Amino acid sequence: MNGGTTRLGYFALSASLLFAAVWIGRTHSPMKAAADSPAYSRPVCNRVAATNPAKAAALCPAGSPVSPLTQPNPAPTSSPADQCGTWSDPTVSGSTGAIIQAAYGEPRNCLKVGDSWVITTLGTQGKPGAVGVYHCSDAACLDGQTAHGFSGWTFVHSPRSGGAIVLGIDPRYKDTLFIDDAGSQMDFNVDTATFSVDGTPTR
Amino acid sequence: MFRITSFAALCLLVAALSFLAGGRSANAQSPFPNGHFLDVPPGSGYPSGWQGVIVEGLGQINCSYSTSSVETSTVNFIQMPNDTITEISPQSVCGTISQYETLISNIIQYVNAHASNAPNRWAGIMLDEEAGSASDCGASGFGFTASQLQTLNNYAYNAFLNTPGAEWYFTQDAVPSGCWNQSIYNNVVGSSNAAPQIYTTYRASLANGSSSVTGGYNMVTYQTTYTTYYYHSETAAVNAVNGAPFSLYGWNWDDKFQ
Repeated sequence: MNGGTTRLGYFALSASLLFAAVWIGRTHSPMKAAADSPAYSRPVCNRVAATNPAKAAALCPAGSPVSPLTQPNPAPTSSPADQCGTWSDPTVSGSTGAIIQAAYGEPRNCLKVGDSWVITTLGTQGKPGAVGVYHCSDAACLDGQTAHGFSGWTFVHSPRSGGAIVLGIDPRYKDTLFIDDAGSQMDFNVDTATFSVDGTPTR
Repeated sequence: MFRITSFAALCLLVAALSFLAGGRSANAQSPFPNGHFLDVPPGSGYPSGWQGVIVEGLGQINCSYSTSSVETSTVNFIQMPNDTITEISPQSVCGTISQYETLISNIIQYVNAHASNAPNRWAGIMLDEEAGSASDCGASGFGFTASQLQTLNNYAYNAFLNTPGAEWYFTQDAVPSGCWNQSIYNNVVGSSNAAPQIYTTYRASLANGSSSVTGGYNMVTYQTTYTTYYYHSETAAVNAVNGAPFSLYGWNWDDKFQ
């Protein structure tokens, strides 16, 4: 407790206040906002405002001119049993997902369809994407957290040599997926593991 | 005295670190979204517990679903009323870029002619755009190049420019690891409402690098059942993206694809 220590303390305190003042000035100064910020925080609204100010005001409203219809709440969540577990994660060394990635390219989708699990991939250099199907016969298998070894999967390459990307489940047939393959929208019957032209799913 | 010195030194350290960080926050959108869109096929009922709905229109034109079913479902949701978006997945075998341009115009015209609530409840059209696979980043994916998608998106910009309310176009882009650099991604997203599909760190990095066009506003599209990747929950996907969520109708939005 001497004069030097005291001076050091005051110097540090002063310096910290100076830093804080500069930092607050950098991030909160109205003058700065007026000087180098656009009228809207989204670039699109400044672009639109040049030709249609009213449209820009609707796109980027200052406040909430349209009242919310319902109360806020967290998004509904899925049961873990309906989700693909860590066995499907290609970043986990030795996992089924990693083996699939090495063989068929980057996994794009993983989902449960009826009594089966489905994984689609985007392909690798010179190889098309693929759809893999794992059929289940018991409840444990249908739990997505249960590991599903690579040997139990059946893979079908994309017929048009593109990546296989799930667009949705056909609401008419719960065993049929809409899958894009290089710009072609295909049907894929999970039960039979076969592609067909969109609109003509194999039954 | 020691306490004063220690306290001051701690203040100095904190202030200096904040200064050096330039006021940037860590990854994670702020605020966390409190409004949630859910993708549903045309003809579906309204999903309980969700603030908004996206009519998943797929390819249309020469593919499923029929445009009439997509339009009808969109109008029904808007008139209930519900906050609604209409989604198209442009695919080269389903239609040409020119045909998709016509489709966009037709849907805009139909919805505004048949849904009186559209100016306040229809957020517009979401374009689900996929870059190519690892074996072909140019024309695999949904079959269109980044340049073609940019053309389509520019068309959508002009088509929505004089529509009522907040109707606009969204880009729900998905990019496999290694396809599209930041510049290409930013050019494709352009002036859209960005709704990037956040399933991998690569996609999150593209979204985080797009603030020059998005202003840092993204409506995160996430999956829970479909992804095998790191971001297999709403929280994980939202926390992987900087900036703020897309805001409209009093909500801060994200979007679940199912």
